[in-house]
Amino acid sequence: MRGRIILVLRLVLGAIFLYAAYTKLRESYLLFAMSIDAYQILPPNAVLGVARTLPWVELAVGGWLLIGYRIAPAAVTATAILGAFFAIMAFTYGRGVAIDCGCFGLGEAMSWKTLLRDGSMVAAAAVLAWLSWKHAAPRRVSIR
Amino acid sequence: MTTLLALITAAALAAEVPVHTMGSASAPITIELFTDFQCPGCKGLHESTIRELRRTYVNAGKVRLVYRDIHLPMHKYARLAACYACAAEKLGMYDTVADKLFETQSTWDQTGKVDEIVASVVSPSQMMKLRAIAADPSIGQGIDAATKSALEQARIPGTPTMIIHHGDKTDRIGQVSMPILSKYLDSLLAAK
Repeated sequence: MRGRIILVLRLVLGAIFLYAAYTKLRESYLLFAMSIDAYQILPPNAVLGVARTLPWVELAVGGWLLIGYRIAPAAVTATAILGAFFAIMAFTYGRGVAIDCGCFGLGEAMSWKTLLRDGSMVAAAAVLAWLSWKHAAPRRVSIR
Repeated sequence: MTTLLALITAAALAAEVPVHTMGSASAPITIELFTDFQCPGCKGLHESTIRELRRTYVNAGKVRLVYRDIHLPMHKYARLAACYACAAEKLGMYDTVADKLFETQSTWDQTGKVDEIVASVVSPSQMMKLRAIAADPSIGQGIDAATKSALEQARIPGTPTMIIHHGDKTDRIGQVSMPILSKYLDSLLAAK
């Protein structure tokens, strides 16, 4: 049962990461830079750096989850990334700033729905990390 | 689809309310700017980005800027401010009045004394004309129609929103700093 849950979670999360990367890589990185800039938390040079690299990181993590090699560290990485996104989005939403979330390209306004969706993904990634660590941990063997 | 929607919206809005435009009609890029005079984000965008955009891209004929003044329900005096700006547009003083309204936003958004603020940058004789135009019900109705159209048809998520038209493509963005917007506009101009 645990193995099936791990399989479903890693396939779903892997597909979401790949789709998120695709929506950003199909357009100019400067469009994504404008989405990041709207959060008003990074200076311009950092905005450009993140806009250039983050879609490739999402692509790598998505691929890693789908391939299924060493799932536990992949799931921890996914949890850390999604957790950071969620924290930044919640902080910005709390400030009352009306912006696009930038999650899957342009044109999606941030709302409680996007927060709920992102929060669910963080929870799913955390469950995957926990289950896969437990699954991967060596079992204690009794010598008696 | 997005392009079609934006064009329909633009045509509908243009028919209903006087719109302030800046820059050459043949500019390769058109930016529609949806703002609310009482929105703090719009003030930030106006002061950090739009003024510089006007200087470096609009005045150089690279970008045409189309202002869409709307009012969000939670902003009590935004409609009044938009009526004054619209009246100022008819008298050729939009920039002066709009700049002053954003500059003093934190003053009149508490008191609603928009008239007093506008009167400080307009001569008494022009102010009389401006008041008469701003009080015309058709101006307010036009702004209400533009707001409804922006929120329901163009589905503007909030203010500020910029719709960038280039070629047959459109991009919809919100708050953005000038260094990042400038890089994007340069990339579009280089591709022409």
